Amino acid sequence: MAQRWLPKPGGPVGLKEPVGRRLFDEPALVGATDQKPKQSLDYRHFEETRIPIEVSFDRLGPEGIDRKVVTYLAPIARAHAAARRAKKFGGWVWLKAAQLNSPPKGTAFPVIASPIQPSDPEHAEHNPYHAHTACTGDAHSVALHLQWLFTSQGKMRECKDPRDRVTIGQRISKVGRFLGGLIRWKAAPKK
Amino acid sequence: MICPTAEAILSSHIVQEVRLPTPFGRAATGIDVPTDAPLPAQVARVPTAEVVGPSVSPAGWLQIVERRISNSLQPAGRDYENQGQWLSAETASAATAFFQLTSDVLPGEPHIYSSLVGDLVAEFKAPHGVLNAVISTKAFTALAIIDGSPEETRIEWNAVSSRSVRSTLRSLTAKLCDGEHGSAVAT
Repeated sequence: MAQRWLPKPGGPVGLKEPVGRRLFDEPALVGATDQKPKQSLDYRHFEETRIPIEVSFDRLGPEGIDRKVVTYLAPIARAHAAARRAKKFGGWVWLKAAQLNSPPKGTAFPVIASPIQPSDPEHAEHNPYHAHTACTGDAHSVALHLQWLFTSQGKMRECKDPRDRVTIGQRISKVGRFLGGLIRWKAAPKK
Repeated sequence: MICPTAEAILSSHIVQEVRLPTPFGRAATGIDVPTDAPLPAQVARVPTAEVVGPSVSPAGWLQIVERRISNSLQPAGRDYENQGQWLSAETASAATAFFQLTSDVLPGEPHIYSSLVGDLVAEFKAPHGVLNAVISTKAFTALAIIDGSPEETRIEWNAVSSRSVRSTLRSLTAKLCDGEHGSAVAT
C-alpha cells in the first residue's frame, strides 16, 4: 500500500505539483438574492486580509493529486472553515505550480514551501503541505489577479463533508420508502 | 451579437430636453423667463424649440442595483453578525454614488457582493471579456480581461475628477465590447 506523499523538508515546490486554494461558501448580500448565479470563482476565495500579503495554498501531491494528502488535509480545512465563523469547506481550486510561477499572461505568483510545524504557536494543526506566495502592493489587486488566474486555468477538487454523506442505512431506507409507495400505488383500485 | 461601443451607448442615452415655445414667450416649465435673457452656453437655439443638453440618462439596471444595495444595509448594532450578507452604510453610499456617476459607461448590470473586508465587489460581463472590480470608500480597483489579456485600473477617489473616472471607464468598456483593436469593419 502506497504511503502518503510527504514533501522533502526544505525543498522547493515542484513545478508539476498541484497547488490548491481552499474554497469556503460565502454568503450573498441579503438584498441581492435575486441575482443570477455567476460562473466565475468568488473573489473572496482569494482575498487576503493579512499584512504583509501572504496567500496560502495547499500542496496536493507530487505531480497529480494524491488522495491520501487530500484525506489528510480535509479535516484541517474543515477546522479552518469552522474558525471562519461557521463557513463550510467545499474543496480546492488548483493549478500546477508552474502556472502560478510563470503564467503566459498577467502577474506571476511564485509559490514558496512553508510547512506549518506542530510547534508553531499561531497554528494549532500541523500542515506539512502548506505553501504560500508573498505579494507586495494592493490586496485587492492581488486577489483580482488570482481570481482570474484560477477562474481561467484552475481545476476543481470537491471535498464533501462526511456529515453530508448519505449512509448505506439511509439509502436502504430511501429505497424502501420508494418501493412501499410503488406497492401501495399498484394495490390501489384504478379509477 | 452587436455590442455598441461605450461612445455609442453614451450617445444612445443622450436625452434632448425640448422646451416648446409658448405663445407668451414663457418656458414650458412655467417659470417666467424674460425673452431677452441670455441663454446659458450649453443651450442651443433651434427654430422651433429650445434644446437643452446633452444630459446623460442612467443605465436601465441602475435602479435595480441601487435597490439591491439599499436592501443590503447592515442593521444597526449587528456588526458582529455580519459575515458578508450586509454592507456598511459607508460602502453602500460610495457604491451607489459610483454607479450613479458611471452606470451609462459600464459594460452592463453588475453581479454584486461584499468582500471579506466589507467593500463591494462588482463583476461585469462583456462580449470580449469580463471586468471585475472592488469599490471601496477610498478607491476603485478593477481588473479587465480583454480577449484573455489582463488590464488593471485603479482610481483613487480623492485624486481624480468625475469626468476622468467616466472617461477611463468608457475607454475600458469600449475595449470590452469591441476588443482591444476595435470593432471589425463590415465588408
